[in-house]
Amino acid sequence: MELGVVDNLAYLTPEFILTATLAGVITLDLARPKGASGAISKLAATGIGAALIMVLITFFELEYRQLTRVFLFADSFVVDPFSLFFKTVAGVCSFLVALFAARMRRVEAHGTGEFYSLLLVTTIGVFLMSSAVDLVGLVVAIETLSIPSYVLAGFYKRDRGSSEAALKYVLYGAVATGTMLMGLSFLYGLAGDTTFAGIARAMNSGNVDILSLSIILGLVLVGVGFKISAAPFHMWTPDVYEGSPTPVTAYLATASKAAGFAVLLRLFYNILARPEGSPTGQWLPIGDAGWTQLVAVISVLTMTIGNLAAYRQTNVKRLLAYSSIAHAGYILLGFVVLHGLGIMAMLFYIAVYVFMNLGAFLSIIAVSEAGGGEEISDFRGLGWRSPFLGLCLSAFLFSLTGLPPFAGFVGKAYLFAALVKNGWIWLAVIAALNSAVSLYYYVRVVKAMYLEGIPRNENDVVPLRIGGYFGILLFVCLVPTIVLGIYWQPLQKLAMHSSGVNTTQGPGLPR
Amino acid sequence: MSHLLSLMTFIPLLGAVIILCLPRGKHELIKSVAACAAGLPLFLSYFLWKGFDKSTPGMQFVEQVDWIPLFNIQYHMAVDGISVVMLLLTSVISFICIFASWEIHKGVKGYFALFLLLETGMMGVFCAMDFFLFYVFWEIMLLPMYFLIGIWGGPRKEYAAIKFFMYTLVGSVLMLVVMLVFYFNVTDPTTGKNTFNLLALKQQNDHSGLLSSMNVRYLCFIALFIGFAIKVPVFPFHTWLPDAHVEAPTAISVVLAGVLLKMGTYGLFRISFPLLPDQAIACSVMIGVLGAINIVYGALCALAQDDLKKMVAYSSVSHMGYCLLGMGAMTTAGFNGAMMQMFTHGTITAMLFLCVGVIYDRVHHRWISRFGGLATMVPVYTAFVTFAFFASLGLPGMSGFIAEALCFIGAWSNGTPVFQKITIFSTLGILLGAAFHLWALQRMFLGERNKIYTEQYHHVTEINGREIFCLVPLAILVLGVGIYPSAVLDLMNVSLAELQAFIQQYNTELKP
Repeated sequence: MELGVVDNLAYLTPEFILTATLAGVITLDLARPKGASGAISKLAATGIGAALIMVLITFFELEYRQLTRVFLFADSFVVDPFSLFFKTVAGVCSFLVALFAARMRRVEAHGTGEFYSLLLVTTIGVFLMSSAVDLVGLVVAIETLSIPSYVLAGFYKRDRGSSEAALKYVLYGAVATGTMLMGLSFLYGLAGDTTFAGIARAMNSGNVDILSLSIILGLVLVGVGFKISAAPFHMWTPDVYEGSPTPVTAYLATASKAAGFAVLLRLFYNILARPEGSPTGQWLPIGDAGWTQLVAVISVLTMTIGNLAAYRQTNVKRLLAYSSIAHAGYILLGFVVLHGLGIMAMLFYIAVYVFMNLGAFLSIIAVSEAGGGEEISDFRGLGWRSPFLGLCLSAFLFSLTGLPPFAGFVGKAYLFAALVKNGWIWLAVIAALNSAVSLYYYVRVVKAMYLEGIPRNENDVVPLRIGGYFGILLFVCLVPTIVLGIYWQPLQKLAMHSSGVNTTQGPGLPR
Repeated sequence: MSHLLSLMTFIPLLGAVIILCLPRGKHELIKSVAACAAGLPLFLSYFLWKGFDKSTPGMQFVEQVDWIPLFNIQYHMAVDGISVVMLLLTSVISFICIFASWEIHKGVKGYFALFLLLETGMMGVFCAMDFFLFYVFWEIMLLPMYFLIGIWGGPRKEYAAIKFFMYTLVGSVLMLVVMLVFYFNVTDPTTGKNTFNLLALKQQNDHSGLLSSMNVRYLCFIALFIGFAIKVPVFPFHTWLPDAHVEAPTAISVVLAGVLLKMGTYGLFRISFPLLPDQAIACSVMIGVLGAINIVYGALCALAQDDLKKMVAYSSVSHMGYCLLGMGAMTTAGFNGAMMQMFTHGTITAMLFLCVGVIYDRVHHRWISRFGGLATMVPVYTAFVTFAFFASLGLPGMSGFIAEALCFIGAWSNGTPVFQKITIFSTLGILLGAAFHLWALQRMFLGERNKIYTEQYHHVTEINGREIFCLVPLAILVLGVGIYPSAVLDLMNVSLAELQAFIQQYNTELKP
């Protein structure tokens, strides 16, 4: 659909708002009026919130104008429900992370301005990643997310853990991005076009060299696998997650990972798969390349390694790092089936995962801001000392395990449903057992909070006050975690709409 | 009373929410709210009992609304003869347990809120006729149970709590996969959609796709069976039970043995047998053999225990074996016996655990060999214990006898030589059951007082009014059902007969 230039740019309003906010934050930081740090965090949060609202408005506008997608910049950038879904998720993540960090003394000490400007750049990166449908644009978007993330990981400048995290992240990241770049250049060589639509046309022409395709697939998987921390490219995750400032960890585990999945879906459904034709939602891999089996193995490895390694952890952040590896494995399940239900399940799970995971990291922040630590032993008796925090963290952890009535259960049920529908029963059984086993380490934290350090009587309790600010934020994460576990029809509708299940396109583009 | 089942299920949840809003120190108020929240469902269960039509096998008190239409999940609550018995049992046991928990002083608010949440889960499991809803209720029970054992339990509570949690969860995730297999391979002809409705899933003609394969059906049955067997618990999945029972506080042991174990056998009746009748027939000998092993092995283990609570726990393993024996027989008498055993064991074992709680509260240990001659000191308590023990060992005139007899009759009337051998072997359980009960009774209550542990006798006081109040209704039920079993049998007989006839259609051996 051809639109005027101004109409075109209107669809980029969220990105413009973020950029304007970024400029504002930098200016404010340079001017350094008194009490700037409070103003900066408020400005950044407002900006992200406004961008988020614009994303939602764009959603409605597409619906209102009955457009399925809008192309910008010579077919290199697309605004469609799929990209808007990921922008919403990323917007929610950065909004909440911005609010978490606003009350962290350590962030303030290291420079509020730097933190928020970097956070805004990463957010722009995620927004661009979910919309990019051109190889060059995609690489630029990935780097826009990655480079500020490396800096954010090392944000606590004199902290050894934080510096180590940054170094590890940048080294692994450089290798992974480089490898992926190589794969993408091969892809260009094979297809002779950089836009996804053009590549898809070339791929569908029938004479595709399977060997080259397999090499490209392998190289691209390295890059994406690194972003979503899938085994065997997950090695950086525990150290980076443990060392980084907790809001950054929360961001990496949610928004950054979601962006990785957006790229994975977009890339593979465009260039390595084609719709079967009938409106069943089934897709076929191009040239019968057996990469779905490969992804199935990766997914099993990822969740098993994540779950087994999480057993022995004593640091809650590190434990959640391994848990996020395991979750990458679960989400990959939806990708294995190459079916519309699988994409829907992935989107659903990502949306749910964001809330429960952010909630869990927020609980850690709240505890350390109130004077506690990050080791499991520091959480002893916390359920009695701060009942609300204990209740929230337990809900997040049980939701991560996948127990009803929490949203995580529904997400997992849909992922398993996608597998069962497409006959991957063995994979469903492995995944289900994995999620049962994962209970053991999540419950260790719950056990420390409630079963240990039980006060002898109610007057002995030393209360731990997390304050109203963190309390409200926790509640904001808790509500979707529970409500979406009891009534999730709207989210499913949204996920179905965004995944293109109802069309034969999926997250792909018209061929 | 159009929403009777919803009310019975969610009033306890409402009570839990109210309790969470009450101030922490008001113990009496919290307990009163809990008693009301458990008492109202008991009151409503009277109308359920009165209004229940015993002459039809169909579903009654049906409530059916769409929950998640995009996935065709329904909020579908209903009862038939099988559920109604369990529902009545649950409401009685839960109400009594509130009073059995009256002496809890630590974390009162949390305890009663969790307990009421547990009751919601239990009620829901017995009412849900939608597989997804059933699964949600089934899993919801795990959380409160974990905390109730883990916080208010005995010395090894943490180990017992996580063991219970892990075992049950592993079983239930297998059930989740089977549930999805059923969803995608059964199409409801009336709506043309996939369905979780248990009554629609039962229609074997609609099974297609994966479910046409015998191997898949067999694996589904086994996976479901493992899920339910862990809950029953069937040998060799029973090892969580002694730990959980011994460490749990008295009231929680009562609920665990009285209601939660029955969910396993209820699940077999409600899900495994109707959904996969051909596999149920194929596996009937396996179920019977496992039942016989449970009966004898459980009784032998009970005989070896010196911890009174552990002895009672193993007696549960043995008694749940009778259920399996009756179910495996696939006869109407056997099914009736199994259901009867589920009901009577619920009441009898509740009495036993309450009795154990009484003595433990006073002397803070449960070693049978350290007692002796209690009968002269606490005659009323001794009378209750003796009553419960005799009921448990199957004395005629009490409900346990009827149930066990029906199980044996049912198993024998299966007619195959294998089952007759299994039945003969299982009768050993009666002997062993009498042995461990009577031996424990003799060592604890009769004879001389223990000469080494004399200190404890200072603490032995007679059973108090609250404890009698908990025990008496159960004793009346045990005696009443023992004398007039039709009161319970009539409720469930029609439904069970229909289920049995349904399964027997798929018995290929009978066909020429």
